This record gives sequence, C-alpha cells and structure tokens, in this order.
Amino acid sequence: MKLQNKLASYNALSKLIIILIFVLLLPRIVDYQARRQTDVRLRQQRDKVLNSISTGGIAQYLVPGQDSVFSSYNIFSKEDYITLEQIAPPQKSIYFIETAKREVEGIQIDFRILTNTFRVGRNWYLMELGYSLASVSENNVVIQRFALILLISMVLLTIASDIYFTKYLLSPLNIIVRTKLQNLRSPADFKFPRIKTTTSDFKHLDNSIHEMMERIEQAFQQEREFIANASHELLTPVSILQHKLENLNDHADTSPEMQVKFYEMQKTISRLKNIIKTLLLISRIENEQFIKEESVSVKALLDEVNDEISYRLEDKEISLEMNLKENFICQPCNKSLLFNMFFNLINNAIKYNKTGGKICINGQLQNGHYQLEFTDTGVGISPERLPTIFYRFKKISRGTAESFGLGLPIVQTIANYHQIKIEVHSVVDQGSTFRLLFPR
Amino acid sequence: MHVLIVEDEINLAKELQHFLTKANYNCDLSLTGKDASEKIAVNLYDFVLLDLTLPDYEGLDLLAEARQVGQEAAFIILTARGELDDRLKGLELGADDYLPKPFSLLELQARMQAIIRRKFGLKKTKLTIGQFEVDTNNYTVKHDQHNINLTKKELDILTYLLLHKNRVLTRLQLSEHIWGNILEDDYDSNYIDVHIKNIRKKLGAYGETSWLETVRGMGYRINVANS
Repeated sequence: MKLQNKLASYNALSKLIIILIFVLLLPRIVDYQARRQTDVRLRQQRDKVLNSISTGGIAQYLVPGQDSVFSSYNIFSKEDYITLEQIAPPQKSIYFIETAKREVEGIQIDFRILTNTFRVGRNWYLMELGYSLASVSENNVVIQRFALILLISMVLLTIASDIYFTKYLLSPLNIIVRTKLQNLRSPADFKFPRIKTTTSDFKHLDNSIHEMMERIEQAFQQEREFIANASHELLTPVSILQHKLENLNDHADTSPEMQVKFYEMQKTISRLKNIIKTLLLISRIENEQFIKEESVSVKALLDEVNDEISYRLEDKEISLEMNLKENFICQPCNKSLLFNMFFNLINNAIKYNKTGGKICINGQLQNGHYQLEFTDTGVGISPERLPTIFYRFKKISRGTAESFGLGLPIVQTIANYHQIKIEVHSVVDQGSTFRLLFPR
Repeated sequence: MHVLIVEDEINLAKELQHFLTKANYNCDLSLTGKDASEKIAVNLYDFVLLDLTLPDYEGLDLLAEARQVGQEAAFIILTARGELDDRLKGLELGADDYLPKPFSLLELQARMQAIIRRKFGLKKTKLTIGQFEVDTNNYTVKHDQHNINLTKKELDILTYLLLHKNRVLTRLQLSEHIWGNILEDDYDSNYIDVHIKNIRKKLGAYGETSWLETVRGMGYRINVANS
C-alpha cells in the first residue's frame, strides 16, 4: 500500500472514530447541561417563592379551607409545578434536587424536583418545585441528528483536503522513487537533477541518495581502475618472463628435456597472460574504451566466426545448423567485441558438447526484439550452478575441458556493453541454450 | 640491420637485444626517451622498437621527431597499454607495426621480416621446401604444376614454420601467431595438431613431408636438412 493511501485512510478512520464517540456521548452531555440549567432555574424559582412568602406571607398560597396543601402546574404542557405542604417540624431542614417520576393527570412524567423545607412562624412547610425533562430529551434527538450530519460532512471535506494535501506533500517522494530508484541498472546510469521541494526530509533523502550513488559509482570506478592498472603492471613482468624463456629455449646448451620443461613453464605464463588480457578486456569495456559505432550484419559475423572455428567443429564431429530468418543488422556496435562474444559462445557450445553432437543457432524477430539462440546438445549446467556461470573465475567443471572460467564473463560484459540481455536454459545431459535479446 | 630498442624496463630490453643479436641484428639500447631522441638524431637505423610508456617521454613524440629529422627507420610500437587510440595514433604517425605486450619474440622477428620484404622491396616471396613451393604473397602452395588448396590458417602455420625453419615452434607460439587476437578461455588447445594433420595430409598426397617434424611434448619444426 502506498504511503499516501495509508495516510489518507488513517486520517479518515481516526476522524470517524472520534466523531462517532462524540455523537454517542452527545445525549449525555446535552442531558447534563440541561439538568444543570434546570437546577439553576429551580433555585431561582425557590428564591422567588421564599421572597414573596416573606413579604406577602404564606396565606396568599394557601387555598382557603385547605390550609396545608397548595399545588399549581401548567395545564397544557405539564412542564412545571409547585406544591406547598405543611408538615410536622423535621429533625433538620431539607434542601436537595433530584430526578424522579410524578404523576400528572394520570401520566407519568420525568421531573427534576427541588425539595426544600422552611418555617413560617411556628409552622413548617415542605416545598416541591418540579420541572419536566421531556422537553429536554426531545431537543436532544434533534441536536444529535443535526450534529451528526454537520460533523460527517465536515469530515468528508477534511478527508478530501487531506488526500489532496498529502498527495501534494508526498509528490517529491513519488518522484524520487519513480525516477531515481526504479529501473536503475547501474550507478553509472544515475544522472538526475535534484528534486525541487521545501520539505527538508525529502531534501535530506534526495541528497543522501545522491551521495550514496556517488560513493557507489566511485567504488565501482576505483575497482575498474584497479583492475586496469594491476593488469598493466602485470603485463611487463610477464613479458620479461616470456622473453627469457624463449631465449633460454633457443640456447644451444639447452637439452631437449629442459626444452620440454621450459615449454611447460611457457604454458603457465601463457595462462597468466590470458587471465590478465581478459581482465584488461573486461575493464576496458567497462571503462567504455571501445568505440561503439559500427553496424554489422549478425549473419555475416556468424559466418566469419564459423570460418574461424569450423576446424574445431570438425575435430569433434559436431554439426552446426544456422537458421536466421531476418538479416538483422546490429548497430551501433563494436564488431570485434561482437565477434569475440559469438566466438566464445560457439566455442563453449563445442567445448561442452559431446562428440558427434549438434549446435543450433536460431535468429528471429520477436515482439520487436531480435533474438538469437545458441543451443547445444552438450553436458548442460545443473540448476544450482546456473546463477553463477557469469561470475569471474567461477570455474564450472563441465566435462573434461579445461578453462579458467572467464569465457562467459567476457560474453556477459560484451552483451551488457551492447544492452543485450542474456537468458540461459539448461538441462543436465541434454544441453544448454544461450538466448541473446538485442535491444530494439 | 641496425636496430634501436627503446624500452625503459632493462630486463625486457636486454632480452630483446639478446634475441635480435643472435638473429644477426645490430642492436642499440635506449632506456630513456631523451637518450633515444639523441640516438635517433645521430644514427641511421633500419628499425626502432618503441615502447610507448617511457618515464621521461611521450613515446609517440619520438616517432614524430624521427620523421622530422628524416629518420627512415621502420618503427614497431611495443606497448602494454594496448589501447585502440594508441594503435591508431601510432599507425597514423607512420609506425609500421604495432605489437601489444606480451608478445612472442618469434612474432616480433616475423613482423620485422615482413617489414623488410615490404619496405626494402624484396621480391623473393617464394619459399621452397622439399618438392613444394610456397608463395607467401598470394598464399598458394605448388607441387610441379599442381596447385594445392590449403586454408588460410594452414598456410599461415606453414609460412610461420618456414620463416623460423630449423627451430622448434611450440604449439603455444603457433597458436599465438594464428589466434593472437582472439581471447579465449582454454589454456591448452590442441587445435594446432588438427591443422598440422591437415597440412600433412594435403601435401602428402603429392610428395614427401618428412621435413615437417613433430617435436614430442613441444610442437613442430621444419628441418631444412631433411628436405
């Protein structure tokens, strides 16, 4: 899930939860508020009643003949009432407010009731002031509904603005991921302008990526330079050894047995030489020291390689079959490098083949890509070795052929240099297929 | 033949000198560019073997200098740099050949002889061996009036052996001469044997080939005394 979507859904969810809690709590809050206000009103009412009694006397409230009880209420809404009742002197005076049910004209109604005792002369009276809560709860439902609608629409509005804003805010990150990190094949490809943003975190991220890439590229460069320099430095002492041995070999005093020994040494030197030259070749390709501006017909080049290698085919009685549907022209390319690549591929197909085997080269356009396949009927490569066949110096003991394991690394370096993709399929004891996918 | 060897690595220079002296060349040694520059200005040489990486001199400058003072020596560039640019620049400045280090001394000698034939107009391009006549100019082998078809590789091997007759050429030296510019993975291929077998077969159909000797464990030799 993308960061932006995560942020948006978190925002929406958290807001919804808060609002739900609020709306659920709303009746209680409204109730509480209503009760408090009712209580204030009841107290004011009580004070008024007591005031008027102290100035006008109790008699004004008493119905003649019924001198102990007075009651009065609003006939239509039954919202409030007052009762006065003469009582026996209480132990101590009473003054409290409570919620209780009272029956008015046969209907049970919730009232907020203030109960208070007071004395007039020698008589004690009990006063009850009541205020109905029905009207309050009626209001409650309306307020709740209104609040719900209002809040939900506000939430929707803020969610929309949140999505838009996070999108805007995170756009530098998207650009970094999309342009700088995806499809990045090698650090050398990393040449991008800095991202424009005012968010310091993204600036920091962008700078860090740039710094890191520079450091990686530098390390790569140093490695390539090291290989190139080391190889150069090695060539001179190898030259000296080779020349000394050649001269010794020619020396009149050298016996035939010694000559054979010298020859063995020469072979060792030659091996060293080949390794150095291969490393140099690879590092030169990686340092882009080869000019890549020729255009070459793949068929003509394969024919050339075939001429060069045909005696090896004959020697092992291997038949070579070539099916090239189109006359594909590879450009821009370096002819000698491509020659080298084809040579190594076919040579491998011969080397790891069985006597009397077959090699098939198929070329055709597929989905706009030219595809060239080298299939042999050789010993094959086991699946666990397949991932490492292009590693330098990773020797694959296939059959009895001896090599120092740089043939395929050469092939891959040349292919990379020409943006050619290589796929390998192999079945042990049945053979291998190397498929080259040329760029469009 | 007068040769100047310009090479800052004394061990290498000495081996070159030893080899060429034995092959009847008269050699001068220069271990620095400055010394070489002076020698080129004063002496007349047939060959200058030039290492491009000198501590005190840009090797290619020597070549330009030599051309200015009218030095007619054939220049062979010997370098470990092996960069394409150097090669092109060198040949552009009038170098006659270019050998990337490390090379075989026999290869150097063959290149020098080729230059001699070219430069000094030696018309003798036909070599005879036994009852066969090898024309190095147009790559043909003749026996009486019969043209014998050899492949280019087979002829290359035959002429290289002829050039160094009475000397054992190892399989390695032959491979390097023929496949020097192909970098491959194997370190001991026996494909030279295949070619020799073919040469013997093709020539053997017309005449005696005992002059082409196999030297056990090493390689081949053309024994002229045997022809």
